[in-house]
Amino acid sequence: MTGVRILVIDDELAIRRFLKIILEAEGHTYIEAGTGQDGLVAAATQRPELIILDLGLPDMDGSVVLKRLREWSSVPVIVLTVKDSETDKVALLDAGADDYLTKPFGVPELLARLRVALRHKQSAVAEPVLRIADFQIDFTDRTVSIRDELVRLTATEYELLRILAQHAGKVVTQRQLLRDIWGPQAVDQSQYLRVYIAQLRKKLERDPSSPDLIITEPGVGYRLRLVDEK
Amino acid sequence: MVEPFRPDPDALLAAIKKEEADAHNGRLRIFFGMAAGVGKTYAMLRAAQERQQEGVDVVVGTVDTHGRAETEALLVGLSIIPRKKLTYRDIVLQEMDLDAILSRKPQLVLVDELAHTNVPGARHPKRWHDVLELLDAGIDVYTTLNVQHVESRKEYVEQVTGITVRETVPDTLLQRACQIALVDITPAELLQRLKDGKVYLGERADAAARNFFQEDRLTALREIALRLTAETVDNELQGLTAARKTTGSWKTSERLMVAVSHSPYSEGLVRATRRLAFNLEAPWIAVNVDTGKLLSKQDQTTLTRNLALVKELGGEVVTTADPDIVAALQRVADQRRVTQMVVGRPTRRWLKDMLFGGTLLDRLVRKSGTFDVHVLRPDKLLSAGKWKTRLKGPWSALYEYWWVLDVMAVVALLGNFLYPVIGYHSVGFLFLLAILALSLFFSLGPILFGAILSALIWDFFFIPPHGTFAITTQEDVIMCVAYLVAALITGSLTNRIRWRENMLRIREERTETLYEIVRAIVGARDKGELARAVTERMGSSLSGDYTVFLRGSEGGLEKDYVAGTTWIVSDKEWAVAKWAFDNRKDAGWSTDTLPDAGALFLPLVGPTEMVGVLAYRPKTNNLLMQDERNLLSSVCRQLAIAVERELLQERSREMQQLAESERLYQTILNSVSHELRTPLTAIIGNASALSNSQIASDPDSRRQLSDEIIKNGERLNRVVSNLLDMSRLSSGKLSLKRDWHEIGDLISVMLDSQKTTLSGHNVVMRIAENLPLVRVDFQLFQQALSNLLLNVATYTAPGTTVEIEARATGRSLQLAVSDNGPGVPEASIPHLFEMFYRVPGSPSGGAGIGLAITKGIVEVHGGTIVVGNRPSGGACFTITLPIEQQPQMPQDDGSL
Repeated sequence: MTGVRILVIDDELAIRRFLKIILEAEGHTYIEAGTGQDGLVAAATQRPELIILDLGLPDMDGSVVLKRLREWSSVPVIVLTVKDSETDKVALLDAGADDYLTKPFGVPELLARLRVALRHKQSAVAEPVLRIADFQIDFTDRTVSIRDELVRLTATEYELLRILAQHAGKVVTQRQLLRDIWGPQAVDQSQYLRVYIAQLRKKLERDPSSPDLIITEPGVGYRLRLVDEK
Repeated sequence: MVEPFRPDPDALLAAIKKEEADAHNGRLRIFFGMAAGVGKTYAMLRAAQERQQEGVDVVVGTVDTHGRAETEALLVGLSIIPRKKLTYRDIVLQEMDLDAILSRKPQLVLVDELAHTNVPGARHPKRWHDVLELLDAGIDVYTTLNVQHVESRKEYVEQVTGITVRETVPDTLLQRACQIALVDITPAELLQRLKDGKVYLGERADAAARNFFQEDRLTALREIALRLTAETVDNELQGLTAARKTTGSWKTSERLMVAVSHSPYSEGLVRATRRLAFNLEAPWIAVNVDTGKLLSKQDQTTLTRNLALVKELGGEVVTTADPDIVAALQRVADQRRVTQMVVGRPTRRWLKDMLFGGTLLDRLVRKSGTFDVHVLRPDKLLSAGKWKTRLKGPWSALYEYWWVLDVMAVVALLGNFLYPVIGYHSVGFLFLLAILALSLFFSLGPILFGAILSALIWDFFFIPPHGTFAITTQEDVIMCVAYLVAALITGSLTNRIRWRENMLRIREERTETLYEIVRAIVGARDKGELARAVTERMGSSLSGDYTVFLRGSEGGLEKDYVAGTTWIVSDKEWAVAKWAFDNRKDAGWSTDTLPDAGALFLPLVGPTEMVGVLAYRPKTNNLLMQDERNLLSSVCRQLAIAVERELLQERSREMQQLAESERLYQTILNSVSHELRTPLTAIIGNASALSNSQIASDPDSRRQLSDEIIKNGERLNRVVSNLLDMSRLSSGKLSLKRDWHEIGDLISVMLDSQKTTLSGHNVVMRIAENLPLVRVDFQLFQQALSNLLLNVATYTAPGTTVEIEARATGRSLQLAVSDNGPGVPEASIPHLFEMFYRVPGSPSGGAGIGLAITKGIVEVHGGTIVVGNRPSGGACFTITLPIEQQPQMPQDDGSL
């Protein structure tokens, strides 16, 4: 992964210092802003390729920053959240954030999220086939195989897997999945997802009770895990 | 032997109490005069103006200027509180606005005409009650009063002037006054004023009023007024000297006693006794002897009034029960060391006197060894009243006479049949038997009537010669007369026995009720039961509705309804209740305050504080009898003591709880401090080691140190999370975000997050197929399970197998976490989930909060968690969650 310009919007000096070290060690260019307003200005003037946005900003709510940002930019945004603020996380993901990190987080998680976010951005052309270790999904002829064996999936199961695969590595919110598969009237029917995810796991996972591929993001949604995250 | 002078301790105590009271209460200054027109109001206003010049806050409560210009001029500059309008019988009248003055809280208020009677509907029946309330509230009062209105002087004035005095003020009020300013002018001057038209005669601008204003009468009044003022001054002086222990002329040896009854003479006797007592400077008591004779309502009212008069005039009331009046008086006299007794000269009733050994007076004099007897002549004015009382009684039993007549007729007929067999003597016995039988049912009048009638019938119809009242033989005459006497005596005696039995029965019932109530009070467990103990039982003795108001936690009266009463108090009644509570005085029906309220409100005064109010709404509206009043006050006292005890217990419980939470707080503080500091110490230690370049250059050391920092950081994170959860759980502000989840998924996510802590253990999952979904808060439940697993990992050695099993049983889902480690010590099992509980001897590393939080979270989801030891060894935690009705599943679709 080549170095990119990354903007960090966070009011806490300690976090910014830590992120600066890590990001620069990975070869990225580090830009920082301490307030939402400064962040928006920096985003407009410095044109970063990825933004790490903290939610607890002093002057404006993180969600407002995101909203303003999304009015004119589709730059990938990873939000930093505090544990227990589920509603914030989900709301932000629905509002256009690409992924989230729960504080306190370690470096591997951070780098994994970065990689995923940047990969999706960089690949402008969608790949027809996605391979993750033993798993393979072919979007063109709509086939899925695991350990070189073809897997039979129902239409809904495929659809669910397809969405997750298209966002491979990123979290997809429960709401989004329900809305895209079953329609807007089903956004609260989480039991649908549970059933189908369970079925998918049974068919795809080596050990369904300890999934490697389809990961539950508690309170948020699901994510198809990429190899380098392990 | 002459005793060294010792001031009477009672007097000293009274003086001290008076001083204390004076410090808080307002001071009363009475502008006193012999008659209307001497210039009392004028003097009062002049003094008020002076006060105002000095800077005192003066308001006018009520002042009657009667249009006199000079008096009106003095009102200028004083703030006047507007009077309250009250409607009585469609007339709008104005009264002094007591509440307005109380809320205004001036330093001094002017209240004219102390003897004035208030309009019904005002708080108190008399203006002097209003003044007392003002004084109790700490407000000084100036007022005016004529000598004729003083209670103890009323009779005298009536005698001297010939007018009837209708409004009076008790002498206690004069004693309460700090200053009595006599406004004195010569009668000649007053008469001149009258001529000049400067005197307001009121409604009585008639002949009687003009008779009043005659020089000799005015002189007499002046003397009475002067004497009264002198007496009061003298009294004050005595009070002051007694307190200062200087040699005073304190005659403690005399004690007066007067017998008080329902007799209308009693009033005069009481007043006379008071005068005598005052002159002798001696205490006096009034004794009421309850002979068991039932009194009519009229008599009861008179008795109550007489006893109230005694209290007003400053005497002590003693009630005793004894069929023999003389013995009772003697007994009380002995007990109280009475030296002088006051009695009225009795009317002579020859027959009765002969029978009973002389009049009451004679018997008293004969038996009295230790006291003198003063005999006073009865007051002429009151004798008319006596006759009226006498006549009223018998008429009410008209139907009884009819019955007696019928029975006599029946017996006569019976006698007629039996006469040939038994002879006319025996017929007499028949009549006697009839009289005896009748006396069991009817009152005295009809019985006496029956006795006489039967004698006549017997004489006329049966004793020869028949058909006449004449009696031939002498033996028959004696027999007839003897019969009559026997009938009369036995009839009245039987009657008396019956009444006495009745009285005893009522008395016994009352005592029984009181006993029952006290027993219930003692056995009551809380305030509600205490209140109910009274309200449910009093009705049988004193019929009516009862309710109890108790003091709330802030100290004010609470409108808390006692379960079981159907009486809901109206707002007006509630106001009276609050007044009784605030002022510590009885209020409502049959008291001096707001007597037109439908109920009586008695404050419950405990040993150290006010605890509530007992409210009683009578069934009938007659005046409250003395013994009923006594019953109520006994009950009030008992209730107050019990309630206060209860309140104190509550308070001590609260104290204990407070101490308990203090202790808990300390524990938490210590525990948290330790839990946070421990990982922090490791982090700082390891990090600073890393800063050492030598150590940092070795990759293995670097790895080890950084691992330690990460591990301890995670541990710190855990502790913080747990603390937050704990505070949220205990505050009850935990908002669950419940959603349908698979328990298997939850467990695997949890295990994933606990990878490092469980790295040394062998974890086996046994999740049943097709388990129903559960509606839980994923994050919280994950936290609960994490804490549980962490606990298992901490207390078992590495290498231990941990089994996690999930299955459905009927209506619930069971999650079991078991290990094959050492298990939980038996003694710890009941306490394991308690906050801050650590198994004794366990390795440090937890604050003891983890399991408590797990339990809290499980329970908030409606589930349960238990712990036990497996028979095969090791501990087993079992979480049971209720299975809710499953939601609608999606339609299955076909394969791809």
